[in-house]
Amino acid sequence: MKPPISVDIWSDVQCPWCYIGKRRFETALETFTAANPEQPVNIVYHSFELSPDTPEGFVGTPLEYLSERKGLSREQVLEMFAQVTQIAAAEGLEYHFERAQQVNTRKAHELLHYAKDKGKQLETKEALLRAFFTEGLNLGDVDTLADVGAAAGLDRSDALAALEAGTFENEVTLDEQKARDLGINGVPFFAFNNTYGVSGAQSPAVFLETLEKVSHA
Amino acid sequence: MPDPQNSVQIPEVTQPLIMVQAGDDLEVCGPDGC
Repeated sequence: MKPPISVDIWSDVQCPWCYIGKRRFETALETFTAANPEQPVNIVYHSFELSPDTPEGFVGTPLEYLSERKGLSREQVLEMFAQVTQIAAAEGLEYHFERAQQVNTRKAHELLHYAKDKGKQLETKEALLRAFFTEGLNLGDVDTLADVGAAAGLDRSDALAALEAGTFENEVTLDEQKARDLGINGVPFFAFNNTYGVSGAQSPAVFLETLEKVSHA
Repeated sequence: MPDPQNSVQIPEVTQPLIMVQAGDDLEVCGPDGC
């Protein structure tokens, strides 16, 4: 068995390109693994908050948030939503911006670190993205986060206790510090074997080419 | 075995990544929007 390829992914749970990028990466990974079954790949998701200034407890819509706080016109935002919804659909994803709830995502990132500790991070990441973009759940609420975590296979009461205690707060901060050290200012961002960086929801062909490059390095 | 209270923490060195160039049309979200 070869040594594993590491793929470190910085992402936020309310980032539309992150979910699309996740699917495109998974498409590439499936092709890569079919051709290289002896090559393990370790994937770790890292925290990146797109809007850390969102007050805790704030619940708004992405339209309000982007138009009122980021200076974009409502028309610009709606046009962007329509475009990205269409691109997401092409990847088999169902986006509903009209019912999405814009929140502070720090607690959701803490849940992802808790889930990593329990060996359930990939399932939890998928569940959180679906909860935000498809189901319109409030990911700033710890009870909702515990429900989402439980659906992904976590122990609900233990996860809730960790969220309430802020057990993984420091891990979120460290991830964001690492992102700054690497010069990451947009997500999704993929680092392969701590050597190659891919920015954005690139095509599966780009991810596949990078996986092949690092596996032959 | 060093005494943890007296040991100096050496910060992890972050090597710059080699960016894979994949066109200009990057689909990313940043603090200023997507």
